[in-house]
Amino acid sequence: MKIKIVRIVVFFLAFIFFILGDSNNEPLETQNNGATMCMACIGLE
Amino acid sequence: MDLQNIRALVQWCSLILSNAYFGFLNTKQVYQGSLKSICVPILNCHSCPSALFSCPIGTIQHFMTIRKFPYLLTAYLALIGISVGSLACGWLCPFGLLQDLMYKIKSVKLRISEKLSSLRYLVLFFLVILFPLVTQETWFSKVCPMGTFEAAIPWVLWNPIIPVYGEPAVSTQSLGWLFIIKLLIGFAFLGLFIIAKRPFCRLACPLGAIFGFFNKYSVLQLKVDGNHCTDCQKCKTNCPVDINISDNPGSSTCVRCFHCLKCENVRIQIGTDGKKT
Repeated sequence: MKIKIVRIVVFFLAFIFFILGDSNNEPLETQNNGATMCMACIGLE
Repeated sequence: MDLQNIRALVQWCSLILSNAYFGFLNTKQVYQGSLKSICVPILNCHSCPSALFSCPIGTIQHFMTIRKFPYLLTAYLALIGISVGSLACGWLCPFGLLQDLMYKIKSVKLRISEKLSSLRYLVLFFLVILFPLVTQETWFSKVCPMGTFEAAIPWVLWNPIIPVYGEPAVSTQSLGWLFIIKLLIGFAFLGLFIIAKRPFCRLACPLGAIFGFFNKYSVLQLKVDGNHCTDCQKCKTNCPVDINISDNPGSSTCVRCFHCLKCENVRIQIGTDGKKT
């Protein structure tokens, strides 16, 4: 029963977060970050 | 075709599809198109010259440095986790594939205790969330071995002149201690891959920590028939992360590779609670 409640809560929160993330323009933020060469990933100072 | 052969095929396809941008040969830059707005549910560096998608851990760190909560990514990872647990670790992750392959090299083998898998949560909390939030720097990326092999080494060795700017991609003046430390960590893990089963996944992977947390609650579960299980430990011997699945079918360390399905007492179930019956 506890596990089923956790599943329902996670699905519900995910739905809310999808709406919030989309309205916050997060895909564009992710794209801009991923499209820039990451200095830390390459190990540059 | 054997299930494990299918898994190997899926792992190779995932590696190729995640890194299928060959325009870098022309532009000498990373892919900048709309697919970079999507994170793959695996550790695949978005600074790899051929990467098509973004890295979820790199993206979480970025959102921490700009002090915003990554709602969309959290929802995406939670949905994958609650649906299939850490299935992506076992079936899609290229770093997992590398570890699976390197462990096949004959050598002295080392067993890693399951208790050490808690280290992943420390890595997730400190290097991916807290330190980037406080210092506004991406600390996990600085030491990420996947970044070393997919981005650091290729870019530094190739170091092309970017046509748009007329300058080299990597300024040699920027190469210092950080690069050396990154190389040392990367090659230390590479050595560990030969002697231990999936050491990075079990000791340091923050994405594995996120997905592993959901293993106990996910819709997809492994079920062990307790009435017929003789505790022969064959599942533990075959397991790529040394789990005794008959003791804990919902273990957070499990990568859902389904090696244990070779035993007829272990099966996949959808929508159950993952306990031993």
